[in-house]
Amino acid sequence: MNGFVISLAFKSLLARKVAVLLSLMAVALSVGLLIATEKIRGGVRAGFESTISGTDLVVGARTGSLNLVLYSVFRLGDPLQTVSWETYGRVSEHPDVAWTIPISLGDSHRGYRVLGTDDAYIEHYQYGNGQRLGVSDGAWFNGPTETVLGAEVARSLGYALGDKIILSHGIVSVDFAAHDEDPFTIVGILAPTGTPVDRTVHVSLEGIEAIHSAPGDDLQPENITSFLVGMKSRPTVLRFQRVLNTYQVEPLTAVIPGVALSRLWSIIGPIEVILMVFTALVFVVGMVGLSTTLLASLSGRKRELAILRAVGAKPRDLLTILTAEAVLTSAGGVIVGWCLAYGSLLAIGPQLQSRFGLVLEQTLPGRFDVMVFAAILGVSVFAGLIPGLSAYRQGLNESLSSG
Amino acid sequence: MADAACLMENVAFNYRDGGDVFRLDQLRVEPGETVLLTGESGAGKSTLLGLLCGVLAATTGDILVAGEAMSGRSGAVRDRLRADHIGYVFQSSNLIPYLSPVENVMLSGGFSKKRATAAGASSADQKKHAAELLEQLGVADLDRAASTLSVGQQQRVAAARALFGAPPLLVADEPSAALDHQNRDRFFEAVLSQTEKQKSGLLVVSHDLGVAKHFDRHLELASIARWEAA
Repeated sequence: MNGFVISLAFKSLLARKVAVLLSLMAVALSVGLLIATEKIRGGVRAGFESTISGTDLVVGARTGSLNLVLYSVFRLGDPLQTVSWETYGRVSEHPDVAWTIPISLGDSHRGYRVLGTDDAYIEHYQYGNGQRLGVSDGAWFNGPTETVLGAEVARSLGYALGDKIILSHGIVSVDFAAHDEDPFTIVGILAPTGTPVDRTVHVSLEGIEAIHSAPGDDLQPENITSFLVGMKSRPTVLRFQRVLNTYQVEPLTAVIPGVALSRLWSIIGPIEVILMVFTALVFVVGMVGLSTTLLASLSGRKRELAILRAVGAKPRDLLTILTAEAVLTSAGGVIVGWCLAYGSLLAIGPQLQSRFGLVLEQTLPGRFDVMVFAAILGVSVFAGLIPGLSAYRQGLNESLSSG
Repeated sequence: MADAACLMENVAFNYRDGGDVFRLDQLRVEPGETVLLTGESGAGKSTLLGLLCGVLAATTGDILVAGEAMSGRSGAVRDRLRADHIGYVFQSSNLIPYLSPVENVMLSGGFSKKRATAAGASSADQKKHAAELLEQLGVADLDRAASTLSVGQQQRVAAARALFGAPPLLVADEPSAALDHQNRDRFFEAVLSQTEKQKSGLLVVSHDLGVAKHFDRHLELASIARWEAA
């Protein structure tokens, strides 16, 4: 008997194809947008947190910890002070220290930051979930006039191996300060990482020195901007941080990147909240649309419900029909919405990764999706119940006699 | 003696406490008997139909359909009794627009196992029964969408639905109001020959005295029922 009632709901939906498809699409768009936004939001956050990994301390001259992380990790802002090469040498030789990566900033190439470093960078720098950098094309630099480009720099400026580029002093891409007597040869291009490394031009420390000195000078660096430290064992990190922060010879700041990153995220986090609010509003609008469509269709169906009552349908049967129609419509909408969201994310995923460094986890629908599904089913059951209940209460008598 | 198709006796009903009370002395329709009930607007025709079909619950009195008590039963039981024992025809707009004429007729079996079984052992048999009823009532286009049929054809489909599964009682509320005279007479002739065949009682409520010639008996509602102040 119940099967018969459900089959009536199906036939009724089929008979109103256009209207049903429209409300199904409204649900689908709402769900698709919700899931896509949530995925991208999660990707932005995960991408932010995976900018750097494996590094225990970021060390620079005495400055704010956020400032230090901004220029050392994100290549944002300008370092004001430097660390002496002597201090760097002493830290890197400390028995608890596993490795150090020197960072020397201050130059740029057509808007992209130039970073002076050495072989430790390609050997020890890690991002994401402990992934290492890889040279996708060519090799790591091996001399003061060679350079290795991040993936985005090479792609957006159209550079290939063997091209010669000129670095300018400062970060503005104007020509007057160009060190045009010192062209660098591109010997390698890094694999994309989805981190600021992609937007960096890498040269040797000697190369940086060469830009700023007269020909024939000693290329041994005297200062660097900051450096990254990897410890041999985790428990020594806090103690060593304290040692560096109270270093007598030179004022230093040493920060644990994870701590600084979460402080930074707490500053930009409200943007995430705004995104979530908009997402929630999209969802609410979709749900209101769904309820409106269901309720509006009812007035045209009073007659149909009266006929069903006359042939013996119980109020419960009418409730079943109306609720089943609502649930079928919105379940269809949710499935189409899922396909839209995951399909388009799959399609534009590579683009997002290469253009914005945004890596979306290709996971199966998870708890969030289940919650969305449950919410929509809840709303549609509710939206089906309202007309169902009004049909329940409506005396058949008036419908029996109304012509 | 066989149970009456329907029997209402000493029925009282009021829509709200303290409102006027509808009182009905007796209404009896025998199996195979056709009765025309006429009355002024407001005389209580809708109330009588509501009580007889179990949509309204009588305050006191007996209402029996095919020997089963409708009065004093729960709404769900009254719904089942209506599904099993009563075929109902509205004044107009009788059909579910998204079902074919045959599906509309078979609707009666969808909510009553008894009617379905009476119509045929298998769903193929039931479908055949529905198609035969439609044919006998003069509905030619069985595959057309119900909503595209003429009003006369729609009323015939509605009558076939009421007849499906041979219920003991057919109730019709102004079934010919939307039809012209020629159509009206042909409609009643077709319906009456079927009720006779099925031995169903027929109760038709109408304004139109012109149809009285088709019926075994003509009753004035005012002669059996009245409204009384509480």
